Amino acid sequence: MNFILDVIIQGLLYSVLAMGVALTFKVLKSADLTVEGSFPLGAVVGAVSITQGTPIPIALLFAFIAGWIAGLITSWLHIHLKIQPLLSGILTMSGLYTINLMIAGNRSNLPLFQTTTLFTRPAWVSISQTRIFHLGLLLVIVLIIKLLIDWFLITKKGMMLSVAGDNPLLVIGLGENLGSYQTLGLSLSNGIIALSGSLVVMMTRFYDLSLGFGMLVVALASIVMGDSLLKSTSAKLTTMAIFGSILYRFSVASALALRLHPSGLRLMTVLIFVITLLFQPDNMQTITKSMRGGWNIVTSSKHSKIISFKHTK
Amino acid sequence: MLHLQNIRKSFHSNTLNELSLFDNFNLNINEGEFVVVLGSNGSGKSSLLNLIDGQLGADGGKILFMNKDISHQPSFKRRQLMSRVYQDPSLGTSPSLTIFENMSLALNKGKPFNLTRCAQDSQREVIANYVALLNLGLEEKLDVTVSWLSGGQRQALSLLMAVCSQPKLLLLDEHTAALDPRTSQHMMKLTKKLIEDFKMTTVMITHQIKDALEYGDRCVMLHEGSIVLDVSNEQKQHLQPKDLLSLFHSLSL
Repeated sequence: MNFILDVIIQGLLYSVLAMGVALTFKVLKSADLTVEGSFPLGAVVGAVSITQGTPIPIALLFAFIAGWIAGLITSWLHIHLKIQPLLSGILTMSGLYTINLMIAGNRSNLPLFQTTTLFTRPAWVSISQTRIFHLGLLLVIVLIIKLLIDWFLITKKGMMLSVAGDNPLLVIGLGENLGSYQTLGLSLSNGIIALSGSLVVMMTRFYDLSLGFGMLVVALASIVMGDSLLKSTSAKLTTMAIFGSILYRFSVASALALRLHPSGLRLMTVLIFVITLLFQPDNMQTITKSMRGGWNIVTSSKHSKIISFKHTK
Repeated sequence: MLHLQNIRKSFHSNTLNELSLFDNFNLNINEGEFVVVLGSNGSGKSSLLNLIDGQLGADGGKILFMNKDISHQPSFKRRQLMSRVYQDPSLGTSPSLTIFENMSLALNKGKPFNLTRCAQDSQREVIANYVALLNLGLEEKLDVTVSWLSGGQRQALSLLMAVCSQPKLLLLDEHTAALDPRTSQHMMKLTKKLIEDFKMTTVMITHQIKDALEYGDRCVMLHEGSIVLDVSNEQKQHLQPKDLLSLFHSLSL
């Protein structure tokens, strides 16, 4: 029973990350590597904020804003300097490594054992009820984030974000600035990813600089697993990400229970990802498309002589 | 309403392959005109549309649209008042959204895309009426994802999406070329009907000499970036396909 509860708690905890990544990967149809920097960025901003006595909701907000800025930087590199999307993400990610070190005061880890976090058990909850408390709290948080994303995606602005991933030329055709939608998508996505980082660090009570390594593949594995689990239903993107994240954590926990050495986890994640893809040619297309840089239109500027447009199919 | 004045445009500038396509090119299009543009490959037809809608920037000259100089406006700004249908049916719609959602976005063109709900149920009837104009029975399939539609259906929807916001100028870039002859014919009739219904100034590129004579009230032929034929109304009615063909041949010699 505790095994299942732990799996669900872990799954919900990381489902916020999966939802954030799904916004770029499934909606903008672009693979954004900023994740690996913005996830620990959110974690360190959250950790430092609460150790300095910032109220927890404000600390979470700070993490979100920090991630939002990371997304802004990536989109600026792509849209204004015309650097390939994949490389833009890598640049931001690498730069954030130093920024994260600086925020933590040149330390590569921060223990939070003495600090009250979001998940610290209040006095009215007994030790034996800790898991239930965590589960309830996470359910509420994840549900709020999910409903907000769902709502956003059916607004006019959110729908145009889908168009920007689907057919960038149509965004221009509808008289809207394509670049601003790409910026919005990347910022929102990285804001949510950083928020997820701060939630994770508040749960584990330990910040480590290497927290972000491999997070993109973890999130993508969750997303494709959720997709294959729920593809025959009309489930929303966010629902798929949540269930996929839980399913992924279940596979990881099962592998560990079967005495897989923890050092083998990353290889296992990659294998899960590849195997799920083998059974899902649709997703494979999305991935190859996003790797080629699906959002390849250069927005026009006043003096540009030629506004190149590369349509990738 | 649209004036292209002394437009200059060359490609691969400052290289050995420099190609000067337009040199002091002028074209005036009046309000309500339906201009058909003919020309062989490389004659500058598509570049002309790209210059008008801003996908290409001119090297020199001025583009006036509704008495405003739009030469330096980015493409998306220009497209608020003009629409374009491409040859490729997949370029005009968003495949992962439904017909209803696509139409709802298209009807919102020119208005802000804010945080209010898109594709509200209250729009359903209006959109069904629009889609019924296509005569393809798509009004019964409003909630079908566009990726399920055939090329012809998608192109018809692209055309409807381009015109439903009543743009001042409609650009048609060989929009029937990828369709089979029957669908293509249906598409041309539909185009004519929609242009008349919505009273739009139109520039259409085509390779079909028959269509060029049958539709539109002005016919322009381009060759190597200059206008070699410009006829309107009565003159155009006296033109025969063979006249145009012989002109084509005399140019390519």
